[in-house]
Amino acid sequence: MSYLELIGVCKRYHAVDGEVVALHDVNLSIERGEFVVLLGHSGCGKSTLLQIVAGLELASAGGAQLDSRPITHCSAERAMIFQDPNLFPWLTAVENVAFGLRMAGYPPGERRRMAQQALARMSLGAATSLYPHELSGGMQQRVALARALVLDPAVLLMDEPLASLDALLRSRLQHEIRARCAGRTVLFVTHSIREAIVLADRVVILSPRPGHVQHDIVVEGTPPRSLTPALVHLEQEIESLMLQQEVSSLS
Amino acid sequence: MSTLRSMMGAWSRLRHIHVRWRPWGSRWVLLLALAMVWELVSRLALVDPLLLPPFTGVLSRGWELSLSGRLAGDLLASAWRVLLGFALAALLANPVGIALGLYPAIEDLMSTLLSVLRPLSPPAWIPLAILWFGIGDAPAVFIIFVGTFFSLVIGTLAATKAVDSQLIKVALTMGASRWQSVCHVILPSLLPALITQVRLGLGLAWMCVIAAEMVAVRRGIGFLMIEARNLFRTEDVIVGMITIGLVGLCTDRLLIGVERVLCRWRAGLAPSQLYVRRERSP
Repeated sequence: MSYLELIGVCKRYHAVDGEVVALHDVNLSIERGEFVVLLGHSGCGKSTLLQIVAGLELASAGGAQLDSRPITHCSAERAMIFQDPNLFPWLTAVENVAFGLRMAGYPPGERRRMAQQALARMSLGAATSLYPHELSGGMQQRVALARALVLDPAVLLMDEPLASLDALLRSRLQHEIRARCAGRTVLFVTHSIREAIVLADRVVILSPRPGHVQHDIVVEGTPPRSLTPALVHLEQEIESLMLQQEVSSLS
Repeated sequence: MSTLRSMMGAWSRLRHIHVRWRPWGSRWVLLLALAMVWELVSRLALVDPLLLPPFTGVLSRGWELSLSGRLAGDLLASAWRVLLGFALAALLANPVGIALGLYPAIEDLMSTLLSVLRPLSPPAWIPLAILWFGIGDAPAVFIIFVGTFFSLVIGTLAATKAVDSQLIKVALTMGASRWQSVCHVILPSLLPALITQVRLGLGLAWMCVIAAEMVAVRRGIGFLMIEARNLFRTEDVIVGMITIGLVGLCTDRLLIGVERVLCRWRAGLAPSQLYVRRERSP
């Protein structure tokens, strides 16, 4: 059995115009230390899947297991980073990073020291006492990353964390994420095929709604990768697979 | 030419001085103009001075009441009732509002009751207040309590529903329990709204004080005004009104200061800043 298992996960919602099936029979096995990127069209249930792994939502059928234990509630061992940094506006950068440690009952001095170290690793040592509104978008996302990493989570869940950043910053943070998450199990959601093949050990493509695993592609080479002709070819291949999905879903 | 240029320069400097003092200056000018019109209308008997005594007459009566200690005594008595009634209402209404905001099932259960009780004006509670609490401070405090409680519940309920749910999700995935997320996410998120609630609620409490002091009490600004009305001492009625207005102004300024200190993390361009007239740089 793999470290993180999704077994027959289904998710149904009750909407105004009837029942919506967001996920249907999703089966996915992720090994310890693997960096898996989820790709798929908008509304295919990528974020819902991530929230089920986080414990924020319960599957309507099937379920997720971490280390053979069923996931039934939220826990700091499965920290999540969202598209927006979602920093607590009333806390400074260092207090934001120390938030999870505070919830876990660490003494004030120790959690401050750990949070300062985590910020320093993100090259944010000079920004510890700034409030979120005083930080740029990239700095805020790095604080959010530090806030999740300081908890040393077994699994890191990232829901399009770089979507709102410009191309240059995005590329820099992709490298930073890979460097900081080495050896950690990561489930990463993105819309960008290029981002997926730069970062992932495996790219999992979900079908349009209801989402289920349609393709599972192992990417060769050590991430973060520079674009080679082979990777550009892979990018085009994934793009045509997703276009085919779209055409077949429309027909 | 140089004279013209120096005149232009002087005008430009004057304009900037004008811009700087205008917000404060115009406020006092407006009040002074209002007082003068009031004085003239009364002195020229355009309105019966018995119904609208002159401004200077009200001022001198206010001075007399202050010197005799009557005004301070009545103000203290009212302030005590307002603070007690409002504090009890806030202590109970805020947790109730938060619970209603977090649990839709409780909101469904309570919404009809709240909708029925909220529109009742404070004087409507006077008979029940006397029946339940007799006479004295207790029924007056009760009327201030019911006059503010329902508005506070509705305000806190709306503010709780508006808390950014993403922040709660972040806290939960950081290992926070439900109770910890209430204490460390929902309450800090609500702080600016709660301070606004206190500002509005205290204003409402002072509005209730007249109704509250219609119940057999012997001291208080409301009592002073009701007694003055019965004796046709219009000056005293207006002195009471001005006193309540000034107390409201002072508490509001104080709470704005408290908000600035406690919510210094709030930033960004407020809508008013987008609508302000921009001065060209000299």
